[in-house]
Amino acid sequence: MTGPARAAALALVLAASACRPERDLGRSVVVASKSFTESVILGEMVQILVTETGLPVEHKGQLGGTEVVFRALETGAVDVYPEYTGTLTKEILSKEIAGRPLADVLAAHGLRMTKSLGFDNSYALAMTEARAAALGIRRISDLTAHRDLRFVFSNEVMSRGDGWPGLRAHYALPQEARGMDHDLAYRALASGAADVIDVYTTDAEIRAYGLRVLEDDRRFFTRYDAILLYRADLEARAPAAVAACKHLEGRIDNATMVALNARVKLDRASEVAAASEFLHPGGAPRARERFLSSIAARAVEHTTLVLLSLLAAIALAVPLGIVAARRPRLGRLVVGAAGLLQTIPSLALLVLLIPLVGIGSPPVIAALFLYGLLPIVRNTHAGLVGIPEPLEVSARALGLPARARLRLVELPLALPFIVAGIKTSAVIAVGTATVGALVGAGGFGQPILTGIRLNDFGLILQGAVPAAVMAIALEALLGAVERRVVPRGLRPPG
Amino acid sequence: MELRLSKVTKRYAGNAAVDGIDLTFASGKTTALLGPSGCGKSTVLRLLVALVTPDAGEITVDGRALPAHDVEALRRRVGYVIQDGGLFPHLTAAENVTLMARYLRWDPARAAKRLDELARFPADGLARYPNELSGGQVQRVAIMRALLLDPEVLLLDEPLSALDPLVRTELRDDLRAIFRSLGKTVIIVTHDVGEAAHLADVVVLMRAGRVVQQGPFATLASAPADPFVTAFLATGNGGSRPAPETRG
Repeated sequence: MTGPARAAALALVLAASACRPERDLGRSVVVASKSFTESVILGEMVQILVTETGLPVEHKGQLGGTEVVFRALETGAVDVYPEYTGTLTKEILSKEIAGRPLADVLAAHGLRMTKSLGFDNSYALAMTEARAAALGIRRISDLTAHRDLRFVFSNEVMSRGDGWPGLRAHYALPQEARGMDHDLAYRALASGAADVIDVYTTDAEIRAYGLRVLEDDRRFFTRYDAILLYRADLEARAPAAVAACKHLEGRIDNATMVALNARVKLDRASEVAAASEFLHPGGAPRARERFLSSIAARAVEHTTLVLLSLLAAIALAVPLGIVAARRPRLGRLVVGAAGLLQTIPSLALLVLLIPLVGIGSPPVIAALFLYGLLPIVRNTHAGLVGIPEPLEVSARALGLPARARLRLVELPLALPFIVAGIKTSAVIAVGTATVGALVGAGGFGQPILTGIRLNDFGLILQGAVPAAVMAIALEALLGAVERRVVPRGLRPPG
Repeated sequence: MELRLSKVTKRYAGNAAVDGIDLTFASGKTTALLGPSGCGKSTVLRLLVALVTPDAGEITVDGRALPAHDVEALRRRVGYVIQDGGLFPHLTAAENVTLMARYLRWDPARAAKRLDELARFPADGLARYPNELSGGQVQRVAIMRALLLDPEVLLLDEPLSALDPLVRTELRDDLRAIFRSLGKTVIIVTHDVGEAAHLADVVVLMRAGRVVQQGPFATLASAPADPFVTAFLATGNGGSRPAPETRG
């Protein structure tokens, strides 16, 4: 094996071992929640109840969408999370269910669920009271007469069978719809950019925005009873945790859930506070996270994601760039493959990586690593291929063997290009790492995600500003490194 | 070191740059490969250090065929200066000269001593990067670099062509002094009759990949083998430009 090939293999092994999901029998009970307020509140409740049994517990709040969290539960990275019966029957398990009882299908996946927690968070369509009154719309079937209404639906509703496609067919609706984040859709409605959006029947905003929920007069929407979904093996491993989950069965009705959501989204209480108030009315309020220490923690998480992925990318991409420069045909393949990786949307890449490396930072580091490859491979390749032929001839004529030419002449000459590629990768990594919050990796994406969910602009800035500052700082730092390592003879004169 | 080409042909994209050539370079002599551009002079140099391989014929070094030699070891016994010097822009002049010393892990004192012996150049210039040197200085540094390992043969490809006339005359005189004092086998490629006459013991006049005539300059001048020789010597560069005024 040649030197670069050996280095590349080593980098792969390191990356693989750094990304292996942990499976430790003595570990904590891991609770997760999906990225919306209600799920996070329920997750906090479970965490509080399990903590009270004395078991070690961890809550991966707003871990991601249905797909991400369900897969994490299946792979064992998560033990329990709040889910809805409709989501299971109509979406996740729709292909397998075929009239069988839900519990049987879940058992085949090694999963179980509690009884209903007491509320049904179904889909409904809503308009502002004023607009609905003006057009005389009370029922969904009334919408067919107004074909110029603008529909904006959450991305999940846009794509699932029991969402927009089914609804449209069921009511023969003539309108087109656009997809948007659920929390942003409310803003679009309030600002007049949308006329009809989807809501959940426990949304706090229904009251806050003065919305009219349209009657589902032809009974299209399925029931979405809230339940807790957990791994069957949890009963053997931590029976007390399962008992704690069952403690919530039947205890939360729709009005209570709307009130809890409103505590967080309208009164700006934390999810922990809302959960705790419900479980222990009159108990001591819980403090919010301290501002500076939370920024520091986010910065550490974010920096770790960026640095680990960047180092791994350099370790593999520079040797790959060298190989690509040595063998033009292979080179086109390598640069093309690295380019292809970069076209995969970050969210899709993360979801693809979760079954391989679990949740949290490993899939994010792996994704950033893959995105980081192209700029470094391409620049290393360009730097080496761009070396003027006479210099190549001189280096050979001196009697330097290939490896010494690479070390003493070619890599130093390509260095300005390589450093520029690393700079590009670093800036991409800082920006892309914010999506890490979607799969529980933390970082500056966390306040952005929470800020969007809570419609809290200040919170969005708490993530966006430090991320931008970090990108600028990293670029400046690498610029300083560049000035140190690139000799004066390779810089433009003056 | 004796270098010999026997019936050597080298083609690029079907065109013969060197066409069945026979040449012997004797030890300790300075030979000028003279001819118009594109006549195959530079290819001869590249063949000698195995940067290109012949399509036909054989090259021998000290009586042994070139492929039987350790090419890298052979190249260290031959100093080769390409056109425009080929200095590495990321290294200072001194670092360019001592690059092979670093590769061969000489101790720094030995490298410094050798640099000192070779210096034909104000010392402060050695700390500069190639883009901070004049054309003449670049050529001197390139020759110093080629001489670092005290090679038996020195190959120079158009060392003076890019220089302005004054610097050119100065460096030419300096080159002659170097050749005389070192007593090495030197092969210099030039299209300039004046340079060939001034520097070389033997002139090899080439045209379209073949040797037209070889011998001391005086012989070529007094007994030209064909009209091309006469014409080339008269115009100084094969008839395309007037002869240079300096002819020392």
